[in-house]
Amino acid sequence: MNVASHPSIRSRLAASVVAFLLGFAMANVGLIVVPRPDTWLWLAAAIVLMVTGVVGVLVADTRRDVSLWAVLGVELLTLFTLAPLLWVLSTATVAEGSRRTTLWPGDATWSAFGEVWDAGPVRTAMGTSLLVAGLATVVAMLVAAPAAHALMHRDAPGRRWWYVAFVAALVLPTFVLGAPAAAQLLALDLATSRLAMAVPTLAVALPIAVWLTVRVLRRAPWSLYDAVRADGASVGQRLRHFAVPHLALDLGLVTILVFFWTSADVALGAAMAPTDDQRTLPATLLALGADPESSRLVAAAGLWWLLPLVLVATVFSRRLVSLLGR
Amino acid sequence: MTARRSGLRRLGWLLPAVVVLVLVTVVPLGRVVWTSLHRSSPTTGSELVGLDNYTHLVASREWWLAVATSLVLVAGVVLVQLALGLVFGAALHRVGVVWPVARVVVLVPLVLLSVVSVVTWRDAVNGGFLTSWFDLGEAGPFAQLVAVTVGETWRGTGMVTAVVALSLAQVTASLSASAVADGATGLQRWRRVVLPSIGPAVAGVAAFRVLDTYRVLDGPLLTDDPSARLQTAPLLTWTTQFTALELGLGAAMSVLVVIGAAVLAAIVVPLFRVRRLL
Repeated sequence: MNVASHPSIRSRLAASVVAFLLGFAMANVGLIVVPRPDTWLWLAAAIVLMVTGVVGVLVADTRRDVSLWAVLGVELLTLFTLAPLLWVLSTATVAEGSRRTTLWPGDATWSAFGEVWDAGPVRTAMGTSLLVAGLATVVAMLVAAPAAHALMHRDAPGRRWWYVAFVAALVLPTFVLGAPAAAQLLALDLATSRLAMAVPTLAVALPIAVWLTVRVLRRAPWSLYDAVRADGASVGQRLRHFAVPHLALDLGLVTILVFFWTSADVALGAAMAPTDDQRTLPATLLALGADPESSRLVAAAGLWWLLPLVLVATVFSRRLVSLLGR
Repeated sequence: MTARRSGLRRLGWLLPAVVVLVLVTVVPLGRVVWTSLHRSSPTTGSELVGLDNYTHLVASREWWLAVATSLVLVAGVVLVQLALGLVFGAALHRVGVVWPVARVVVLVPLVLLSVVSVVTWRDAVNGGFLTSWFDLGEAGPFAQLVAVTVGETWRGTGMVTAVVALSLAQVTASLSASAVADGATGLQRWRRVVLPSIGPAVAGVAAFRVLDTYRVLDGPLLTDDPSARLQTAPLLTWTTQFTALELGLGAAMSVLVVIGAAVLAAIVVPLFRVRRLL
């Protein structure tokens, strides 16, 4: 149920006027200032806003439970979110050797999406990220799950302070760990080992794993678990009838989130790799990004990396938002 | 004896994670502190200098300018994110029919690799569409830094929006209805019913955004000009360690950055009353 009351006519009319004027201003800027083909994007957005204004006036004196301010807000949110994403796509679809100057991806060439998978630094970096972040995620989840259980249910001594320590590590500036991690790997003669890079990467993976797992355990229906136990269920039955239906999916989602969070870290990957072919994906893109000619590869690699996450977010959007939310 | 053994057993579940945490964060931080007490570089070797690196930094105008730049960026980014997130979140809550799609869309910028966001936002003002729209001409490092800061704001706003929309959905309906029946104005309902309910979640995400923005490195790194006077504290720390190879001084900067993060946390946690969430 909405927390606000039914919008007044005055409120709807005010929102309609604002939407129309905003659209009118955008249409003028689009026609006068913005070069083609982006003019059409501005005009499209302007038309939507102006139509909102007109429709708002028409429905202002009806009993429909529609807030014109909210509709305007959603339209602006859509513009705010999607326009920069369109620019990422435009950057990725520019021809090699040229620079994109328009938001609209006209004359799109998709070669950068293929080049990412050709033998080269980006493909190697994707492999390194998969290996390093994947290994760190597995280890982090293996130790985070019992830790979260202890923090939630085992009344472990000083558990609140330990939880605060994990949360503090979550927001620790990871680049400060880069130099000592690199020095330690060098001292142990492991500087060229991609597997060894997973150990310092645990500084990124473990805190988020503990934090998210605690959130999952907090939301689980533990009274049901107590009831199952009181009924004399065996460990196997408890797993089958409580853990699998109520925890498994969320913990799987947490594992995916931990992996992508860990793989997105730039600083540790850039600091630890002594050679170019040992860099993680974000570190490689950081190095490539210094040259604007390589922006198309950076954008294409970013969109490839984004794709599985968008699929996960689409399938599990409700769980994901509630996990990150409250 | 039994109680002690039981306490140890309870701690046993936590112990592996604690050991790993100590090994991968506390030990490296200890090493950073130790290095900061040395004048150290790969070419000249290492020499114990006590607190010299710190006294040098405390007296350094460049360092304090970098800290101030970082704090200004943090304040700007987080305030705009909060304002936009509250507006967009409230809008999404009212237009509930779009929520299933919107909750995916708002999270996409957040899950895009930050370095990709930085590169594309930098290019937008560096000969890209913003240059052609508004005839910006040659974009210097400052304009590029502003662009990547806007990009950072764009990345985090979706998270705040999602949290606000989700929190608003959990405001107790009967309480809200009672307030309406009592004749409370919109502002009164916002202050007395909505804000106390969404406050903890918004406070949590605000505190996270403050500390997350404070440590941003890739944006400043990709817009850096060695002659630029404006650098953030993370960037200055990074270039001191990995470009100038002044490891001792860079380690001292790292220690001060961590202390800065702790001070920020000590301010924002009580300010936003995040303790209720821990």
